[in-house]
Order: sequence, then C-alpha cells, then structure tokens
Amino acid sequence: MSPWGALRGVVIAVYVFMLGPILITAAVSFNQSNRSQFPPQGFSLQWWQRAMAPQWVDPLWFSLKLASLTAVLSTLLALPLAFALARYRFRGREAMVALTLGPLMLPALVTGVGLLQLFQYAGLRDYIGFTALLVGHIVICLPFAVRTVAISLHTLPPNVELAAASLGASRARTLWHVVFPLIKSGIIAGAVFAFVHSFTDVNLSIFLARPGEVPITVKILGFLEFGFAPTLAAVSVITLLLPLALVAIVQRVTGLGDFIYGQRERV
Amino acid sequence: MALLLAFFVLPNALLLSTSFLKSEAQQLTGELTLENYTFLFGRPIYQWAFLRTFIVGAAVGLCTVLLGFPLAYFLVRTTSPWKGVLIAVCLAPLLASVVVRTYGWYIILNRFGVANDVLLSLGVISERIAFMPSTGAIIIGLTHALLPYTVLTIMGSLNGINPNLEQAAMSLGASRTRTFFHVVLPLSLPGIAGGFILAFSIAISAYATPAILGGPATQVMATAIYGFITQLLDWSIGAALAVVLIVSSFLLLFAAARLGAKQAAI
Amino acid sequence: MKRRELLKRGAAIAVAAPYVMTARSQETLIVNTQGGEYQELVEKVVIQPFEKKFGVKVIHDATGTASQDYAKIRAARGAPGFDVAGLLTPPEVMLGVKEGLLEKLTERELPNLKHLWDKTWQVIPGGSGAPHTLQYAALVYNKDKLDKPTSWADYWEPQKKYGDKVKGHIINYNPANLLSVYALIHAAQLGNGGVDNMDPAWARLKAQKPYVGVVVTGSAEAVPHFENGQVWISPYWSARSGYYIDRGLPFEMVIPQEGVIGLLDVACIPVGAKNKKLAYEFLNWRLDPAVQRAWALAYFSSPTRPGVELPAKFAASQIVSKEQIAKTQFPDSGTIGARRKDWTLKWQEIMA
Repeated sequence: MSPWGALRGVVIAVYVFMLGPILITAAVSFNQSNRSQFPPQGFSLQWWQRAMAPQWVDPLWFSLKLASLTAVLSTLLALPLAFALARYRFRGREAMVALTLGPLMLPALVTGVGLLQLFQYAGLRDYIGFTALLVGHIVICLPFAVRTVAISLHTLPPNVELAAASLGASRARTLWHVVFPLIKSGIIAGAVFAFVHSFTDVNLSIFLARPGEVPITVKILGFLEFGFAPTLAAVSVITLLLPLALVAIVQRVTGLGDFIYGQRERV
Repeated sequence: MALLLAFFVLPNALLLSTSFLKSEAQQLTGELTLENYTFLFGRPIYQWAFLRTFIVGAAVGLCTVLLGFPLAYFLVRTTSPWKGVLIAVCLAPLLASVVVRTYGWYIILNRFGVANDVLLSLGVISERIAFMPSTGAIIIGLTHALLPYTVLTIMGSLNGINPNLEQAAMSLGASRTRTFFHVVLPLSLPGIAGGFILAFSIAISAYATPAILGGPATQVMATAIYGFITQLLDWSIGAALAVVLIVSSFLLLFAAARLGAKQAAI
Repeated sequence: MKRRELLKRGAAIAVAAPYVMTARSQETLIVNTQGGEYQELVEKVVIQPFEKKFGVKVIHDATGTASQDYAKIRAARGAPGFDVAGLLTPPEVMLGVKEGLLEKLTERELPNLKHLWDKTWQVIPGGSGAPHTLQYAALVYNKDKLDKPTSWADYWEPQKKYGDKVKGHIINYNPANLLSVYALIHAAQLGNGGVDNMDPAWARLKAQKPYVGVVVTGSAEAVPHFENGQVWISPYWSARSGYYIDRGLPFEMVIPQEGVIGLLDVACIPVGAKNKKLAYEFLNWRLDPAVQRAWALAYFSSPTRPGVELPAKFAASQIVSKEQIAKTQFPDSGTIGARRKDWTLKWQEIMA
C-alpha cells in the first residue's frame, strides 16, 4: 500500500472515532417512544418538533449572540497581546504568558464563582446575565485567540517585516499590507476557536446566567438534572450543526476561502 | 491586559484566597490556616487525583497529536473536492454537547455497549468488560473532545511549509521518509507543541468528561474541585485544590518551556 | 455616519438587546424550580394557576442540584437573581439559616405554615422555609429480572437473595446525592448503627462493592441504566419512580420492611430577593390545599399537610396519614449536613 493509501486508512479511522458518539446520539433523537434507546425503536420526528419550541430556540439564539460577540471582542483584544508576546522580549513577559494561559488551566467553575462574587462585591449585581457572561467568556476565550495568532506569527519569518521596512514601508503599512494578510488565517482560526469555546461553555455560564438570559448549554444541563429525553438528543444535534453551518457561511461571505487551512499565497 | 487582571485575576484571587481560611461545618471563618492544604496532602485519594490529572493531560496531549497529525497532514495536502466539508466535520467533536458526551460514550463503552459487542464478535475479549468508569475512558473522551484543537493548530503550521520544499528535498535524492522526518516534521513542530499544550491545558481543567466517564475511583483535580464547591459546599478545600492545580500546571509548563526552549510553543 | 460611529452604535444595540427583550411590563416573580421533563408539569399545575390568580408574570428558572443552587446563593450573597429558591433540601436550608442567606418566614406572611405536619419543624427550623413536597427514598427493582425485594438488605447484600447473577447490576450513588446518604443510613441501621454511627454502613458498602456495576451522582443519570437493563435494583426517590414507572419502565417500587426515610423539598426566599412580597404569596400558594393536592397527584408525591384528600390507590404508596408520618424516618438534617463531607470522603475511599 502506498504511504498515501495508508494515511487515508488512518484518516478514515480517526473520522469514525470523531463521529461515532455523535451519530449514536443523533440516532436516539428518532426514537418513537420517550425512551432513549439505541438502536432507536421505530421512527418519529416528534422530538425534533419539540426541540424547535421556544424553550430551546431562545437560549440557542442567546448563545449564538453571546458567542459571536465574544469571538469578535476577544480576537480584537488578542491581536496586540499576541504581537507583544511573539515579537518582543520584555520584563513581565512570562507573567503575561501565564495570564493568557491561566484561564485555560483553571476550571471555569472557579472563575465563574469568583466572577459572581466580584460582581456582587463591586455592586454590579444588575449586570449579572448577558454582560457578566460576555466578560467571563472573553476572559476564558482570550487564550485561544492569543495563542492561535501567536502561533501564526511564529510561523511567519520575521524577515518579511524587515524586508518591507527596508523597502521603505512605514510600520503601520507593513502591519496592514504585509503581516496582516499573512496571519489572517490564524486570526480567523482564533476567532472560530473563541466562538466555539464560548458556545460550548457551561461551567462558567451556570453561575453568571440569569433567568431569560441563559445559554443553551446551561439549559441542557438543567434538563439533564431531571432526566434524559430524545428531545435532548435532537437539541444536541442542532447545537452542533448550527454553529458549523454558521462557520461555513462566514467562510463564504468573508471570501476568505479556506481560512482555517489558510491557502495563502506561496512565497 | 487590564481586563484580564480585573476579571480573571481578581475574582479568582477572591475565591482562591479562601483556601487559607478555616472552614467549620461548611462555613468560612476568619481564621487563617494551612489546614486545607494539609488535609489534601495527607490523603491518598487526592494524591492520586493530582497524579491522575497530569497523566490524563499528558496522555490526551499525546493522543491528540498522534491522531491529529496524520489527519492534519492529509487535510492540508489532499486535493479532494470534499476538503472543505472534511475540515468542517473536524470541528464537530468540539461542538458536541454534554449530551453526546454522556449518552454517546455510555452506549459505546458500557458493559453491554457497542465496544463490547464488537470486541466479543471479533474474539478479542471473551467476557464483557465495563470500559467505564475508568481513567482510560476519560482519556478517550477527552481525546475525542480536544482533537479538533490539535488538528487545526497543526494544520496552521503545516500550511506554512512550502510544498516545493518537499519536492526540492526529494529531487535532491532524499527518500519520502527522510523528507518527512528532516523537513516536514521539524517545520511543523511549533504547531505540534502548540496543539499538545492546548490539549494538555484544557484536559487538566476539564470537568464534564471526567465526571461522566470517570467514577469515584478515578477522580481528577477538576472533579474534586467541583465536588467541594458545588456539592459539599466546602469552599476552602475546593479553593486549595484549585490553587494546587494552577500552581503546579504553571511550574510544569514553564519547566517544559525552559527545557525545550520552545518559546514558540507558548 | 462614520464607520467607527456605526460600529459603536451597532455594538451598543447588540449589548442592550437582551435587556430590551426582558423589559418588564407587569409585576414579575422569578422562581427557581424543576426543569427538564418536569418543567411542563410544574408550569401547568403550579405556576400558571398562580399567574392567573394574582395577575402576575412568573419567570421560570430551571434549577441545578440543590447544593449547586445554594452555591449560587452563597456566591451572590443572597441575591442569586431568583426570588424563590424552590427546590432546596433540608441540609441546604439549615446552612442557609446559619449563614443568614435565607429570609425568615412567619405565619403572618405565610398563613398556611401553621397547617403543615408538626413533624416538619423537627426536620428544619420553624420559619426557615416552606416545605411543599414530601417524598421518600424507596427501593425500585426490575420485575423482569428479580423477585420482589422486601428489605434494604436485599439491596445491600444482593447476592444473599439473588445469587451471583446480580453481579454488575447494582447501582450506587455518590453521597453528593441525598439518595445515597439515605441508603447508607439504612445500611448502618441494618447493623444497629445510624447517623451517629455509620461504621456498619461502611462494612456493607465494602461487601456490596463487587456487585456494583454503575456509580452515578445525579438521580436522573440512573435512568438510562434502568432503561437499558443494566441496573436491576436501586434506591430511588418515590416521586421520580412513580413518574418513570407510569411512563412504562418495567420497574416496581417497594417500601422495605425497615421503613423509609422521608425527604422534604423546601422553597425558600434568598435575603436579596427583589420581589419578596410576591415571593411570600407564591410560597403560601404552594402550601394551599388545592395546589398541594394537584401537585401530589401530578408529581407522584405526598402533600406536606394533613387532610388533603387523595384517591385510596394513590395514597397507598404515599405518606398521608398520621401513622404513616410517624413511621417515616427523618434523620437530623443538621447532622447530615455536618457529616456529609466525612461520609463522602469515606465513601470515595471505599469505592476507589
């Protein structure tokens, strides 16, 4: 077998691994009865119909808004941070690295409880809900954006900037016309990560949500507390496919082509 | 930066500082103490939880790289018209909700589950085994959940490699294997290290998957922290556990960075 | 408009949107109570009639576990964003009273308090909350697989009655769930112990361990294991058992000869609640005889006050008479709260 053929074999196996549990859950959503059996017994779309009720659609919509805003804001904040980390050696750099890694390694629940306490102590109680969630999500999503941008800056040879500068380009022009297009894919990948991480967070959100401003993940967890129903399986498939579709649309609309795998011009 | 300080360091400091306060019958008192730490260090169950956390983190990092690299390489080099779809599908495990993690893995790994059926019919095992709860199940579940991060990070750095470079190496007489190990692999190291660290960091703080696929016998730090804070309502011990987790993870990562001088990774 | 300006306004609208959506036009009450499959039930039986009678709007906030909700109340210093904590259990109520995070209730605000079973006030301190639902930890078993169990010993020493075929079909719960605590107390009592002497329970737990196939924390997590035939016998809350058996689960519920331990679901008002006046009305409404009856029938639970008429067949599996109340055990919630950590650690060490 050719090496490429062998590689295909491995890739197929990895896809089976990635999709197995997801397809099983999806299958359960077609059960005829209210029992979550696998393989599903009979066929019915009633659970999908239920999954379209406002009690699921509202939090889903809320999550999408929250995650989009989180992705945009954390990416904007990440750019200068990543630049500083990748390009300069300065005092306190290690502390900064630690700060941008910390939220990844500390269980989100700790941050969630801490933030709730902070908002309370600071008299910002009325901001619990969307605003607090947004702040919390930016904090936990920032590392993804920073790291992804930093990695793409590293892959970029520093002499590209030097070359541009030596040709007389101003610093701003260099950044905008040379560096930015080259790391565009990294930036967008970071934004996608931030979006996904925000969209799937539950442990921080549980403490910062308030009635009417509840992300879908918290809603799902609340449901699980009182039982499992095929509706949940349907809801999970929707929460999986919708962001995927959204990512695909963003990809088309922004005209960035294969942004994640960055088909950038070969030098 | 200020944002991180205000909304990450401050709230966490607020909660984590309770780890130095004495707690009596679930209530915090004002008394300073190190009791919460001695409590933890003296119990084998938490020593094991500590060790298990980092074993799981490292194993998950390794597995995601081993599975993720071939996939990333394939996706970067393939000319298939399905490339876009294949990449999008890679994101799926990331978006899998806690329901998939609970139910999907339960159906596969339980004593009467799919994995048992398959292995029995293949004759690999002769009697049914409960694959969950176990440390292995936690590693499988987290590898599944975090694989996309590693794949995408590695793809990012593979993209940076000019395919002409490979062609050139081969035209100069290097074998395919040699080209791979001497050209492709070294150039993609930042991505591999980045993917590993990302998966490792998230794995050591993950809660849902270890809580579902692990049991009382296979606690990790995160599940123990959750237990103390939201179940036993003993915040000082929960906070002490969190302090131990975050301090040791930082020590480990910085030691790794020093050793490998792979600043690039961070 | 400049582009920057436009962006700014856009962001402002996006941020403000959720608030606009929740703009309040009439008096509202935020109630934290059952979600999931019980959400429709609680809305139909309790919330909607309340809204109609008082002409107000109730916002339903689905709960997590009782201790998680309490963690939220604590972190928010008594202002968790809901006016009614509808589903606390006695240990959280005791803690809430000690920490001063729950509003003190009197018969002036809640006239219905004086009609509750006297026993209630031995379980939680008077005026600390409104216990609205009474249920108990029963024993459930798969009737296709096992003969009817009669004693808690049939769960704790399953091999004695059922032989080795039960291996792997026993479920055990984390003591974070009161269900586990109650089952352990029964185990202690089998060896002449109790809440003050749990040693006999640990011996039984060790002996049971080889037969345990599933360990979970939340009660709901057990259901797929029941449905897939992996678990054959389990302690389970009477209300949820009733619900699932009614739904077609091939299980049956029994009250073992040693008796059962009762559980009160308590509604409380966090000290920082915004709409206390309406919260009092809601709690009092929850204890109203007609609401008590409707809820008991819908939830497969018992009323918390005497004198609520229920069909005899339904009442047979409930705690409704003075004698039944007297027979039901209510171990000291303060002791349970204080010892739960040690018990959990002991349990973890044994099960590890």
